[in-house]
Amino acid sequence: MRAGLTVLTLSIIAAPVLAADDPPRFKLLLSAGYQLGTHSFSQTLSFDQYQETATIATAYTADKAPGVDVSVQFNAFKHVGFSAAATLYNRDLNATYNASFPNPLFFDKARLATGSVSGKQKETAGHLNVLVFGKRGVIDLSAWAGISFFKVEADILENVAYSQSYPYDSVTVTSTPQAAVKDSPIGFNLGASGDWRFAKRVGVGIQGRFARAKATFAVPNASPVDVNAGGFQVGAGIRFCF
Amino acid sequence: MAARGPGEAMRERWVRLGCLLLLAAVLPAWAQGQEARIAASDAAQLAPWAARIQQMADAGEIRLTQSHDDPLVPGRRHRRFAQLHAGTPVWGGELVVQTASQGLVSIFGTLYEGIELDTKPTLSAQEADRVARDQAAVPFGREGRPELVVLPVSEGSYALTYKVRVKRSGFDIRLLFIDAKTGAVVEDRDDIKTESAVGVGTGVLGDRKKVSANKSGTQFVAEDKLRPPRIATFDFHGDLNHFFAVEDLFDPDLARDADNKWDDGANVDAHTYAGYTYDYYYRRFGRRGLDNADIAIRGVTHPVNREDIFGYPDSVVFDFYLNAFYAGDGIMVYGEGLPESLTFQGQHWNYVAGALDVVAHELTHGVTDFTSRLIYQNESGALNESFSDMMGTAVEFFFQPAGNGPLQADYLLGEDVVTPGGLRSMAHPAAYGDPDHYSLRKLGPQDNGFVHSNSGIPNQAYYLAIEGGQNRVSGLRVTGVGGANREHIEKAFYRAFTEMLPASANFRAARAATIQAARDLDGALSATETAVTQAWTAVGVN
Repeated sequence: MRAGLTVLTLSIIAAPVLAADDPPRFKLLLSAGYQLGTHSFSQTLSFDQYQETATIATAYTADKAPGVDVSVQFNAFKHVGFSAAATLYNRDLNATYNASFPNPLFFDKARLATGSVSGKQKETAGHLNVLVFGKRGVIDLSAWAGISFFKVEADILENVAYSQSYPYDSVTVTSTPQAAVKDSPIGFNLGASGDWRFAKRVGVGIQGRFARAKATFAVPNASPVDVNAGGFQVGAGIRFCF
Repeated sequence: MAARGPGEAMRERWVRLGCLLLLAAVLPAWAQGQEARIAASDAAQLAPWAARIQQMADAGEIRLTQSHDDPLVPGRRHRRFAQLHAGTPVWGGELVVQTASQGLVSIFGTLYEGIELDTKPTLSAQEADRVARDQAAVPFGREGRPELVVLPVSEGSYALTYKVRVKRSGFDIRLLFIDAKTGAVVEDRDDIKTESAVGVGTGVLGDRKKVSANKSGTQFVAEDKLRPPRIATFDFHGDLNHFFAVEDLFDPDLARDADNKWDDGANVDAHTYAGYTYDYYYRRFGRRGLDNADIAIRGVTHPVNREDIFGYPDSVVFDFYLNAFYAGDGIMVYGEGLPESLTFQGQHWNYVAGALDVVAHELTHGVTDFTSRLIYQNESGALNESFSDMMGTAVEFFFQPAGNGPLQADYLLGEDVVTPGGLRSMAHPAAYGDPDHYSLRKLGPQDNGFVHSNSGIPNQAYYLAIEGGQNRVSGLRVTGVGGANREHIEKAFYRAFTEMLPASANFRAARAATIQAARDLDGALSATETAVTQAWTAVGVN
């Protein structure tokens, strides 16, 4: 995050001194991206069972992931413009659970089960930004900040199904059904890019974006789960100028 | 078995008068449009119903749905009549009539009267089916087809509904009643009839425990569906005549509770402690119940009422108040204890089922019944009693912390419900007038050769083998295996008493068998064998 802020700050400071030589009115940026960093969250399911409370505590880790970043810039003024972008990252979501199931015959003799499950956390976002742009040598530079509209979908552990038999000292986990939950939080993003045009209307570039929003998932039998979406994303791709 | 006390005839007259008063109370309520429960089984009660049934059948108010001869009592016939309102069945309205050649024998049932309801539905059956499916439910089984019924919804009011049995996700079987006029779901009931349901109960001593019950309709019954055998508890509500009259234990007499929060301590403890005893035998010895083949375990509670004690002869008092007994075939009967104001020989008697060691003791008689069949007389009888005491105590130590208070494990028998002191002591038999040495054994015909007293001798041997110590009479000291190793002694005695002893075994045979069992299990000269050998020697059995 710190690196992203640094890039943005430097870009904003540098922008006014950049020479805007033949700036394009519109620019389309198509980038292959990579979401850096992981994030974790946890969730505890609890429900009444056999006159006691069963609990399933799950710790999730959303991994780094590749993605795509598509952006359109409209350079409305001399050094100021607007952009609209869409990003899509599909993370692996790995989880480990520790479950405690009450004994059907006796109080305080819970059976424990542990295990792991995996799913996906898909983050789709639309970003509306104000940007500043300029040129340094042959490099088009731009920096932006704005509002982000996320749609976050995740596979969350819904239950741990098990079988048991007399004398009920242990349980055998038979399935770990997951619920696809989603939320659409609003957050922010900021970033910068540097592009080199090897032809009048076509070039390549690199970019960095930091986006953040907090999604809240409602899961049956559990308190709502707060999940961070986004993070620091880097990308590189092709640029088209109009 | 049908003991009749001196006040029996008088009591019967009161019962008859009570029944007439009940009928007098029921009939007006019925006529006012309420639910009337009918239970008629003597001539006075049956007289008004003989003509009434015929009238109702002629008027189309009831319809015969079942009729068959009694397979157990020749000459009897059973018929079921469903109640109708304008040709539509009334849900829950039914008469069950038993007849013999001379006429009616009994009628039981529930009838609803005063129903003023148009039985022409607005919804078709297909539309009701669609409503059911809109409830995320799929019609299930032969009752999945919508059937028009009159549903009693509250006292004196009714609704014309379609009854549909449906299945929701998982195996959630429901009975939906859909208003035949509006399509609204009037009732949505759980309809899995044999669903294990873990409840919570409060025992005789106020302790809280789980109750493995079974959901039956809208109620919960004391029928354990979680353990391998059927463990069921039957509550006779103090009706000793009914208990005497039944030829077996039937489901209508199962102890039951409306919300699965059981508060009848005797029922709770009889039921749960039978389960605990099964668990002990399974976990300790791998034994599957009394017969090692999961024979049903059935307990009987409240065979009498405490307040009726003065109306019974001594035989009933000693059997059904101050006792618990194994009746064979996996059936235990638990005494009611005494009213709080009464004592017997200076001791208060609570519900006998409230003592884990007593329940395990009685069930162990069942184990003996299916194994050595120790003859219940003289030394073999004392061994029979002693083995039940040993296992009763062993179960206590398995489930309860060691100590001297209520719900704590010790070497007293029945101390949780017979206070103070309990019935017997394995550590100090002489303190209860029981012999603790073979030289003091009692001879004579009383109590089948003093089986409940001479059990003190093997009881003392068992105690010394575990805890060690000195026999009061011989002065010999025993090096016990220690409480932490009690499992070894329990297994040695269990093995000897269930696998090795003949029915006519005496104390000397028990000594030899338990020593052999200890050697089999833990090896020659093991601490177990040494403790068992020293213990028998200390109590004078050589």
